[in-house]
Amino acid sequence: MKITSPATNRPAEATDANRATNQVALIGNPNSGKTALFNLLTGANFKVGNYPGVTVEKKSGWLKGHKILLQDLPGAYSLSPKSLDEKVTVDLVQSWRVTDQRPKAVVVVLDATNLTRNLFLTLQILEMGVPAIVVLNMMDEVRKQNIRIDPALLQKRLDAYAVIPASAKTGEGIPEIIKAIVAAPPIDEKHIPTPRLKLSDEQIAPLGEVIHYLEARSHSAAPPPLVDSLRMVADDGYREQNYPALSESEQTDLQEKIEQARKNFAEKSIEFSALESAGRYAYINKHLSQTYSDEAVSAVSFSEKVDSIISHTVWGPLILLFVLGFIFNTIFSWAEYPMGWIESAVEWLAVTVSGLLPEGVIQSLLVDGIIVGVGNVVVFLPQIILLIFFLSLLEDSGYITRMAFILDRLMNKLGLQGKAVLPMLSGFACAIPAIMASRTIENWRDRLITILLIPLMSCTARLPVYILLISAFVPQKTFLGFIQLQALVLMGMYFLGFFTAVIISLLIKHLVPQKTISHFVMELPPYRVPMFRSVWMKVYNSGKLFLVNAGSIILAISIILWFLASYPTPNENGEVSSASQVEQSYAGQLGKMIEPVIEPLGFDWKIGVGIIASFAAREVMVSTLATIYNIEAEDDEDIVPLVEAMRNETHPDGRPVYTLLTALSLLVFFVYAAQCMATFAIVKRETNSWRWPLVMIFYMTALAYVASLIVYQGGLLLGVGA
Amino acid sequence: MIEQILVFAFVLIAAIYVLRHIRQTLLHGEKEAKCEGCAINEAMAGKNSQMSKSTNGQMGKFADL
Repeated sequence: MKITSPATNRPAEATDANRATNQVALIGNPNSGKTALFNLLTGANFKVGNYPGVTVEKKSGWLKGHKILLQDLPGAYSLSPKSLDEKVTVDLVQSWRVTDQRPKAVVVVLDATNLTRNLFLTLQILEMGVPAIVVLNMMDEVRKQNIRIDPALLQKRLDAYAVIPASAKTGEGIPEIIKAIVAAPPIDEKHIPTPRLKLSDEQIAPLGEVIHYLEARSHSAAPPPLVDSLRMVADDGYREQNYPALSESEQTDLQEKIEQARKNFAEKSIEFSALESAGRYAYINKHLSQTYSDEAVSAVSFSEKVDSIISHTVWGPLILLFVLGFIFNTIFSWAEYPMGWIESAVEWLAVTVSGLLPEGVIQSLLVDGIIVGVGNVVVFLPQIILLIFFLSLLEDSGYITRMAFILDRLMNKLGLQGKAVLPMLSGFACAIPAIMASRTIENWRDRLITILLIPLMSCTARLPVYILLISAFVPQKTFLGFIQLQALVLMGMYFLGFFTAVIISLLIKHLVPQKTISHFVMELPPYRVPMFRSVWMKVYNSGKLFLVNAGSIILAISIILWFLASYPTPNENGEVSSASQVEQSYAGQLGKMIEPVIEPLGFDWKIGVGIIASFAAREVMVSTLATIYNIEAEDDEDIVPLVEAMRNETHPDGRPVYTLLTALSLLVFFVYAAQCMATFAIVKRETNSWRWPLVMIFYMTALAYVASLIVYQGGLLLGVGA
Repeated sequence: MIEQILVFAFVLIAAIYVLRHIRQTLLHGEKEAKCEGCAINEAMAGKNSQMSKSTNGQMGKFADL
């Protein structure tokens, strides 16, 4: 974002009338609970999670009962951005230099169990001169950990407008925050905030000329000149971004003073780049540390004790495998009954509609096209819900960051940087937010690689295809009394995508070596009991999204596929079987056209039609096969169960179309194939070019084809599963 | 005959819907599939999106940070 009018050239005469008086910003460190508070203050339902970097975009919502727009910003540790998500927040805060861009107030959310670190950003925000409501979040945990905080003394020492103890988990402090926002005083434009950092005269002296230069041009909407001068000396981009309207001669003049300050620091052997941090922490120690104590941090100790096992070099990966194994086992066993109920409901509906309508095209469209097509996708709702439920528990408990930590160890051994792990793990739910989460990666090259590899993670849209093929063709064997073979194969598909991404990034690393090495630094949040509301909202939203898709795009595609598989109709005199009629239909002709290309993978023309259709949405593969097999069926009375139809499907020479090998080949194809238009769109937006989505489509399609070919032909050669 | 016309109308509507969905998704993201948990919709719609303003065309530049 560009700051159109520099603070330095603008007098402080702007009034409340033209300021952003109805806006309030919500700012804080990552994982301090901003979005959870935002949801409570606005009634919104945005995703929250117990790990840093959940929010990478600015989101807005109306404060409950008031015409005040609350803006939830991505977390930032300081006003020196290291990644794109932090830049969003920092750009917004820096825009407050322009008087009419300043909000009514700013809510600074602190993780009260970790005040020293959280106060760093708070001090920087307070210097912007906007009324600050400091929210001490997670007070429920503070009490459990016997941490003592004196909010009144803290308010006095900070000179903040308000300091409010709160908890997004219990709802404590929410009415007080709303009251404070509504009653926030107007900004005192003449008040110049004092710098909240402690530096010695010797440390300040080298900056003398820069400070004087800025003092002559400063007003209340800018941070204090001492702070601005420190940042300018430490970073050239800071002057360019925040003082763009200075004339050329003024820029040169200021730059000369900055260079002189750097020389002064060098002469005194003072490291100026870390001076602001040192000054902030010195200030916190001297003025604020008396307002809180953290002598008994029992919960942190608990987390550390648990981590000594869960993140252990040997036990960690084993526990990780056990957790994932349990989840996939459960997806098969727990979903069995609700899936059966939905199947029965779909069958009942199909039979009822068949009975009510006379035989004809309308009946066929409704039953074979719509009910069978959409119904065969909807039956997978229980599995989707279970997967999202477990992913939410992993996220909200804090375990997902440990998973990233364990997998990073492995990636580090392969020489890869691990910051991509967390976005990749998010990709198991959906690639779109995962690609956005890659904004937390500082290095552009690493980020681009991550963006291109995230779609290899198996998202929920692939789940119906996986479950269908695995339940139909992988034997129902159990090991050790509880490990299901089907669950193992399902887990294998998820691992296949993940490890392929690791191998590809390893190849890129060797082919295009990087000059600088990115290090993986991630805050491990304490273990927390997941909030019911958060888990429920994630499950509800995913279920709703799945059903909305089934009722819209999958429904529409099912209608089109029914048409393509039913027309052209044979001549009135022509007596042909349903099977050969479908073969001569538009869909049949299309499938036959691509059959030579996909035959080496073990696929027939019907699978080919399904693959083409699934480029619109992966789940359509299931509805397409269901529709085709039902139109083919001679018996119009009942609907044909898809699994049964697939098992009975034969080639003209009597060989079965589907074998275990065909199923594995198709599974591998779906792990790798790029079949999500929304992903193409987000990659385009994040890279600002169609080049990268096209690269992604090309490499993933090629990978899918080659991998399926290897599986099928390799399997045939070895005589496996044919 | 009426049945056939009705069916063709359905198919035509579905085809138009699919084409519009593809166009919408590729140009603006998933409009119909509003995922409340994902910030994507707001971002895709360009509403109040600081990010869309601040990052468009700057991705390469920001890499230098």
